[in-house]
Amino acid sequence: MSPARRLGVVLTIVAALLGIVAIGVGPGDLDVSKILGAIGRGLVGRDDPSDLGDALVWWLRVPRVLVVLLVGAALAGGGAVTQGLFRNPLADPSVLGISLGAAFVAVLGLLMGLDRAGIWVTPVLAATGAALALAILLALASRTSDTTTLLLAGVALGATCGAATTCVLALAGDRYDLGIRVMRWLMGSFEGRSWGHFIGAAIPIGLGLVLAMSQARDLDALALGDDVAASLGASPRRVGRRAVTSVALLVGGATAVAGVLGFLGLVVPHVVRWRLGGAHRSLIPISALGGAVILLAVDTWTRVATEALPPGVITSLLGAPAFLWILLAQARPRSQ
Amino acid sequence: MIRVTDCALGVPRGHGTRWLVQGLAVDIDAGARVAVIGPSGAGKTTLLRALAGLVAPTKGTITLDDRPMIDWDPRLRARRIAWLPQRAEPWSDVIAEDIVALGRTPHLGALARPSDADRAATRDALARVAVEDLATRKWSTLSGGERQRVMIARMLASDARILLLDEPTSALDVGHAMRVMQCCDALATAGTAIVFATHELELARRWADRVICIGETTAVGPTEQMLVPERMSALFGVQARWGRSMIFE
Repeated sequence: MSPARRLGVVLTIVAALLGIVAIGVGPGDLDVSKILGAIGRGLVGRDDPSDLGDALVWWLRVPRVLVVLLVGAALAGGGAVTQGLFRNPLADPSVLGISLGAAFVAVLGLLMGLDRAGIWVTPVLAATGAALALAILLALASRTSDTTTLLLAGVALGATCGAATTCVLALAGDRYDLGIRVMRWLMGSFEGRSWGHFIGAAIPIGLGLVLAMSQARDLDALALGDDVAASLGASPRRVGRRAVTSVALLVGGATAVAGVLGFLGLVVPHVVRWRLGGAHRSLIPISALGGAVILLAVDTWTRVATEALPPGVITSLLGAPAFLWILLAQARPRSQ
Repeated sequence: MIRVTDCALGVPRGHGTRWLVQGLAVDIDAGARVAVIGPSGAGKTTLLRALAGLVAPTKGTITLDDRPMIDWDPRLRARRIAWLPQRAEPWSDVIAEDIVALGRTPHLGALARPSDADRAATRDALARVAVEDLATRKWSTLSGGERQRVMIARMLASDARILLLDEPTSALDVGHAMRVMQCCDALATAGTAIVFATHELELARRWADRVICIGETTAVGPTEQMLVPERMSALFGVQARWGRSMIFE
């Protein structure tokens, strides 16, 4: 068994075990047999809505756990693709302002009431925002190969999108409830996520992951430069378009359902690349699994320790030092 | 295979064009062994890039199997032509075997897993340039020569019938350089066309049937007619004469 497959199996088992723990955490006397029984009944459509255990497990906690897993997978997988696209380990959807671009367009849609048209509207708007932010960054990246310039441009873009979001919220100051809801959402939260949220996120994130995997080999070719990629039949322009679309679907889908969660897409691919090398065929799925496990661990811990802190705050608190560590490691010359 | 007709390659300079290659006409057929020589900056790399379909000629045409290079689907073209750049560094620390396996990219669909044949081609390429023991090593741990051999293995893994090599032995010791050129020679005997750019005239004299000289003018001909002191003196701007091999003074 290859190291990537071995790690994949381990992460899948950890995700399943952690999932059961996460479902058991909180009010209600739920042991493993009750949890598995409720999931089994839910899967075959025989759950009993009048039973508190079934309702807790199947209608409240399972969808939340699945949404957390999906979002973690989307952000870490999206991070791996973004880094491959920019050929830079510091390129992360939250660092480069892509998540905030997604959030801005989604908030704009929420305040205009567009979300009332259907559950698909917010993910589409968020994906559009992410794609626009990525397009701006790609245009800048084509003019300079300097990492610092690109990162500063990303920071500036993120600041602009953040300020624009605040501006929109301020202009809608009379709608206090909506403002509070949006602010909580922006901090990254999984409170009250339902099966509807899961389905709304699963479609763009599933499509994004498939599209990302279809570009894995071409992203590997791109790692050797545009000319080598083109000589291998992987047109850099085409790879760029598809990679942007996949990141937009992943980050847009994740941001739409959970708000802005920082740094997951930076740290997880970086650690996986360090363990397994940079081949995207294993990097993308293993990062996705790793991101899912870490976010589920963070969300479960916040539920146990304090409901007041949303998981987005914790990922940022953990991710910011990791970002600095990678930045400093980058500054050191590689051994020959 | 590749037909170059009245080809000119230029790069923008100010408001005009700096011509690198002019009036080149050459057929590169199965089994061809062609060396490209000339001073630094003369246009050897640009010519190889044009032959690989990465840049269109400024004038004239380059065709592959009687179709203009530009009309080829990039993936189908990549199955026929493999290109080794002078230098290519992955931005992340990729494992050597994963780089060699990239040679199979043109043969694989977007979501396809490598078949047994793809894995066999990768292993065979690793063996041809004696880098099997480097297969699981990360790029950052390889020396310059080892990296060059890994990149050559990547090119060989493609099973392309036309190989374009830009200074393939520049980072190699004599032994590995000899093995790489012997490998190319064996492939040429089996029908693969080999075009290599080099600064080493001895390499061109020993391994090429024809030589393309790029300098003030562009010329192509059999090796023994091209590698003569008069032409080399004009090409490199120094006096040349034959000794046991060619000696520059």
